[in-house]
This record gives sequence, C-alpha cells and structure tokens, in this order.
Amino acid sequence: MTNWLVIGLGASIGAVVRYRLTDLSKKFRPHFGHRGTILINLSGALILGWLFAMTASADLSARGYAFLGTGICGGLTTFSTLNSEAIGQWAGKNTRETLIYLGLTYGLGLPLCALGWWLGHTFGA
Amino acid sequence: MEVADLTDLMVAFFGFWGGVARLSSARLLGSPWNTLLVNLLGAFLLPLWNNFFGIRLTKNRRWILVGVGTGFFGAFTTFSSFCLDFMRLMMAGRTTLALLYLLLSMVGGLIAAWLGTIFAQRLSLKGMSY
Repeated sequence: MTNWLVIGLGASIGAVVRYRLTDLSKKFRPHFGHRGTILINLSGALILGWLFAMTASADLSARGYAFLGTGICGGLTTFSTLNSEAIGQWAGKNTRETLIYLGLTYGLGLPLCALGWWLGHTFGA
Repeated sequence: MEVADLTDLMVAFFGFWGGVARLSSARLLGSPWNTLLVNLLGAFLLPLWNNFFGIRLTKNRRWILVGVGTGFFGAFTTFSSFCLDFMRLMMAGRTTLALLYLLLSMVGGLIAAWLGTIFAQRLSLKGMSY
C-alpha cells in the first residue's frame, strides 16, 4: 500500500473515534463541556510521543508510524476544533473557561508528549 | 445502538481525505511549517464551514455537515503533531525556533478561528439583506 493510503486509512479511523467519543461525552456528560476534546488531544499527544520514540529504536517501522502516528493520532487529535471551541467560549464571555481550556490543552499536552517519548525510550515496545 | 450510521461513514470518508490533504502539505513546506499551515488554515475554515457554508450548502443535513466539519477539518488539523514538532525542535536545541512555532500556533490558531467566525457572521448578515 502506498503511504497516502495508509495515512488516509489511519486518519479515517482516528476521526471516527474522535467523533464517537465527543458524541458520547456530549450525551452522557453534558456538564463536561469541551473537556472531551481536551482528553482526546492529550491522549493523542502522549501516544504520538511514544510512537515517535519507538521509531528511533526501530521497534516501529516507517510504515507502522505512518499508520499509527501520522494517520490515527493525527486524525484523532484536532487543532481546528480546539480553537473553534476556545473562540466560542470567549465569545460567550466565558473568559475563565477559555483560559482553563487553553491552559489544560497546552499546559498538559506538551509535557505529556515528552512523557510519551520518555516512556517509549525507557520501556521500548 | 447501531454499529455505524451514515454520519460515521461520512466522518470516516472525509477523515480519510483530511489525512491525505495534511500529508500533501509536507510536499509544499518542510517540518514544522507544514503542520503550522494546515493547523491555521483548518482553524480558519472550520468555523466558516460550521457557521456559514455548511449550513447553506447542506441544508442542515447532519451527515454531511458533521462529515466535513468533524471528519475533514478535524483530521486535516492535528494537535499531536504540533506537540511532537515542538518537542523535536527543543530536543534539537533549536529553542528560538521552537518558541516561535509555539507562539505562532497558539496565537495564530485563535486569531484564525476568530477571523473565520467573524467572516461567517458577515456572510450570514449579507445573505439576509438580499
């Protein structure tokens, strides 16, 4: 299979998982607000860091990384919804919520990606 | 609950092309600017789709509205690659570039989404006056 097909398939799986999880969180935890997107983005950042570390130790092939990393993690996590939701909260005068939302996403996302990378390096496959 | 409905299939279909479009940006620009380009473009276009074009073109057919919004633009943009890009730049000792990338993504993403929202509002108002 060519690379674009592998990444496209991964992205479609990631997108459906994100859609289903967001839908479930809206249905069963309405007071949870946009925390569904936060959890999805944070878990994707952690997993991608791990996968990236595994490519360095050759535990994961380039094809495997294209499918799981670029495809699934890329399709699972989203930057467009993150900013739409933040602007929506801000427009709704929820400045505090906006700051919490952005603070949690960026404040935890970057360290979690590094943690994933460290875990992948320390524990291997 | 059924196994999959039309909206799931559309999210998968458009998600596929969102991923492929993100990949093709790597031919245009090198890392990490390719990620920045798709992220800012997607952040601008998603509210434009959700608040104007999607509503107009799909006549509120949820499967295509969500298919393109959640599927295409969601898969086109990526938060995980943004985190990884930043981490890789930091590990390579390119701190200034890493911080510039971080700032452009964070501030640029908000500005892009804000512009998309405003633009959609303007288009809606213009449409109403006809």
